[in-house]
Amino acid sequence: MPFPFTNGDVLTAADLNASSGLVLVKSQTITGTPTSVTITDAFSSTFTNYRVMGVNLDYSTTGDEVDMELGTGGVHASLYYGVISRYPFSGTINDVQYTNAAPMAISYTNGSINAGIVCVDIYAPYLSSFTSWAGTAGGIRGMRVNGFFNTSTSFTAVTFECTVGTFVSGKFLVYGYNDG
Amino acid sequence: MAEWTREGLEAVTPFDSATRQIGDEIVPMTREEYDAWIARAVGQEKPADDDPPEATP
Repeated sequence: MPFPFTNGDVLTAADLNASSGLVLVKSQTITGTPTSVTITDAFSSTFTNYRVMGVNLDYSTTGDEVDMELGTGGVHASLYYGVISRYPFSGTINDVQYTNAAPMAISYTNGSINAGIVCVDIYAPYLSSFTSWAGTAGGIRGMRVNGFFNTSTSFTAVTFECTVGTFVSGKFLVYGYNDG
Repeated sequence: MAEWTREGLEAVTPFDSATRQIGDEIVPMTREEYDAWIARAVGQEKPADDDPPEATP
């Protein structure tokens, strides 16, 4: 049945499945003060592409980088390619290129404001193909990121890791892009 | 520009307080994980002093 639906339409499962855009896969609240947060069971065969959001993020430090690693943390030492643009509160905006590097920065720590955010689209993490991503992050400082992982690996999890200090509070949300 | 040292990083997050969250589970970092995590940040540029003051709720 074509969208938009009208009064009296009898909807099937196929209609409903086709009408949703972003579908919430998982919500994971930060507990304690971990140095890293691994979102388990984030990716599966249900969706191909995902949006991962971190909201109301608070940290024990301010202005240090937060890395994103596919899978569980502390595994990869290379194969990350991409570029980040750093947007400080004041001073010079600069770009950093990653070539066959360890997991790359995706955000800055933002202490005490409870308003740090991460928003990253991750493409095909569960497929046995290259995984790529593009994202933005904000708070006291901002960051724009794009990159890819240069080998064919299937992932079910993603990890966000403070390079200095810890998370204090906040929540991560994983949405799947419904492609019909 | 100042850089993070091992001593400075260990003062911010001592080993006995370092944990990882995996799903809903909190897991203490092993010594090996901790040392690797600290080593990655040694030499990283410290945040500049021009950050704004922390917000007051």
